[in-house]
Amino acid sequence: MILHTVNKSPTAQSTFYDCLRFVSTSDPLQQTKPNAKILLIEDGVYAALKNTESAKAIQQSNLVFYAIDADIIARGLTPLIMSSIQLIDYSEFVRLVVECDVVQSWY
Amino acid sequence: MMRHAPYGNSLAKEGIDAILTAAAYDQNLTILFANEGLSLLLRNQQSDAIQQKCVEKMLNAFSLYDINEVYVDHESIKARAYALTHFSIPTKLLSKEASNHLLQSQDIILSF
Repeated sequence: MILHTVNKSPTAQSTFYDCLRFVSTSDPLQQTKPNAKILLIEDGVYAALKNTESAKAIQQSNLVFYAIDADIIARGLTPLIMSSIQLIDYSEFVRLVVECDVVQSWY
Repeated sequence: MMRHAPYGNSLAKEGIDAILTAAAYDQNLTILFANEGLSLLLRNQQSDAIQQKCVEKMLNAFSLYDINEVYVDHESIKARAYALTHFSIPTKLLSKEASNHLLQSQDIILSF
């Protein structure tokens, strides 16, 4: 299991889409048993804004998406974020890192 | 994982520095070039034109240090219309699925 972290806004740079493109696959085995989780951190949380292109891409992906709650609160985004994103705190961040085999940082 | 182009910022050069340092300490290395990182591999970089150290020359040390597991992401090469013949060191093309498996099988990933 790979943990991918993305820390850039999808509208500022292509980093978020670079990550999504890299992890998305048409392999049917992968789709039922995904081997990746995506964590939005820092400016990456903007990818989870409701009704955006990136929100659509997240919805269409079969992967689990997480976001750091502190980064959302800090930016005043609380009412604007997709409800399907799993909000986590820093200790849950650590738990995710420990649970996964490797971490790939997209920045 | 090399994802940034050289010369615009120092990430690419720092990545190569890290690779060569790790190799000097006998680490078992695999390099994956993706997205803008592919531009690092291009032949005939004349970086003195912008007064910068040539990253291509550093790549030549890879064979000296026995760094042979050098891969290029297939989607990235297609998007930039590059070919393996444009590159100054031997590399192997990897599909997206294979690239993901490659990452998963590492102990640690350093990303530049």
